[in-house]
Formats: sequence, structure tokens, C-alpha cells
Amino acid sequence: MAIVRWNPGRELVNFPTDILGMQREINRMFDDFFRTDRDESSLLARDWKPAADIVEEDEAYVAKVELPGVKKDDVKITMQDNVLTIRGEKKEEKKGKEGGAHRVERYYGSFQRSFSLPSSVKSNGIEAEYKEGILTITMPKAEEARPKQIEVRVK
Amino acid sequence: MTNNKEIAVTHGSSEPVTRPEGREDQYLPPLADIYETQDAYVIMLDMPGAQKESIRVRLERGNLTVSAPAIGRAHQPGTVLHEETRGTGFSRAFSLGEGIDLKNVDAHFQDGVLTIKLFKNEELKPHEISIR
Repeated sequence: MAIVRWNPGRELVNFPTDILGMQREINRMFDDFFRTDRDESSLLARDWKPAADIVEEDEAYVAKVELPGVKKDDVKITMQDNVLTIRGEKKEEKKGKEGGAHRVERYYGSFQRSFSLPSSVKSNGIEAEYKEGILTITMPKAEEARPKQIEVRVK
Repeated sequence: MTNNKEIAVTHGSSEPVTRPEGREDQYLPPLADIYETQDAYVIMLDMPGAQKESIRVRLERGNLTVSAPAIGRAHQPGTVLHEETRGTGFSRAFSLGEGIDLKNVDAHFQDGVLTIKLFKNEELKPHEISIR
């Protein structure tokens, strides 16, 4: 039996590994660099900036925020001066991980996102729902912001 | 550290939102954590917007593949003012080493997180070696 020189690089490939290994890892690094759910100013700190989409409907603004693994009681939504703020925290479950982590890509810790909306919303009509890791916030527009149809009489 | 930057969302008419190229059928790899317990390897995958019924977990020739469309992410009719999510679904593959009991794999989905538990074979579990 030949003696094989120990290659520390091999240790980087952990037990359940990505099928494309190193190549995928490099692609992911590039991908991560351009990810939108990361604060550009601090690549190393890995600030968590959950991805959000905002859609305008006739009667309401609808925001969808990706918060996988977050408990709904750990999310706080506020609306002030047309600025929607979502903040919260994802706690890392430590128990049962005594064998150590092979890979940690998911985000943990606290986050905060703020969006200023183009027009005022009804402060008492805002509703939020958390389902399958997505927080959906429906904000009905205030009367004056809704599209109005005005009939103009021709003389 | 939290991000206090505020994003001003403008009306759709004044600033058209450009959709990422090929968004319609792009399946991107979900972020994953892999950790080890005494008797299993556990893979946790962030798959927000996936529906339990449409997630496919396949074991084939030592490969574990996971895929699902992100249905819950789809927009209602309206004007997209701001868009950060990418892709229309999730897809990722892992190659499994020796020592995993392929007949004993457990998967469950909660709060947008898919947790797959791959139990170790007897020979991979920690055991004491007696000294002669």
C-alpha cells in the first residue's frame, strides 16, 4: 500500500458535498457577491438584508419579504410617515448540533428593512400574514391615493 | 448589526423596473446549512415560498436532489415597484458519501425551511474501542 501525502485541501470538502464541488463553491462566491439580500457595505460581516418585493395594486401596496425560519412572533412591523419598517430576529438553534457544522450559509441574527411608500396608506387597515417563510404585508391606500375616475361633461 | 438604509419606492410609471434576465424559469440553489449530530447529518435549506406538496426530494445513485417552484413568491396582478427576489424556484444537489442509511431519510418543511435528516449507518456512528 502506498503512502499518500496528506492534503489539507481535501478536508474542505465535507461529507454531504455539493455535486459540483469546488466549481460550485466558486460560482457561489460570485453569486453571493452580487446577491441583493446582502448589505453591500459589509461583505465580511454578512449583514442580513432579507429580500423584499413590493407591488402596487389599485387599492393597496403589497410587500413580500423572505424570512425563512423566522418565527412570526419575532417580527415587528411598523408604519410611520409612509415608511414601512420590518425588523426581527432569527435565533440559531444550538441544541442537537454537537457534531459540528459542515456548512453555514443561512442567515442568523437580526435584520431591519425600511421602505418609503409613494403615497399614504390607511393606518388602520394594514394586514400581515406569514406563510411558508414569506411575510406578506397588505397596505390599503388612503382614499386620496386611489385612482379616481372623473367624468367630464362636454358642453 | 442591522441595516437602517431606507429604500424609497417610487411609482411604477416614473421608473420602470427591469426584470432580471430569464427570471421566468430560473431555479437557483437555496442557501443551506449542514450539521452533524450523533446519529445523522442534517441539511437545512431556505426555500421561502415553496409549497410542501410541490417540493421534490430525490435520492438517486448517491445523489440527493431537492427542487421546488417558489409559488408563494408570485406577485398578484399589479405594478412591480421594487423587486429583490430572484428566480422562480429552488434546485440544489448534494452527493452523499458512504455510511448513510439511504432507507432512513426524513424530510420536513416548516416556515419556508426544508430540513432533511440523513441517518448514519451503524459503522459511522461513534463507538468506543476497547483496549486489549
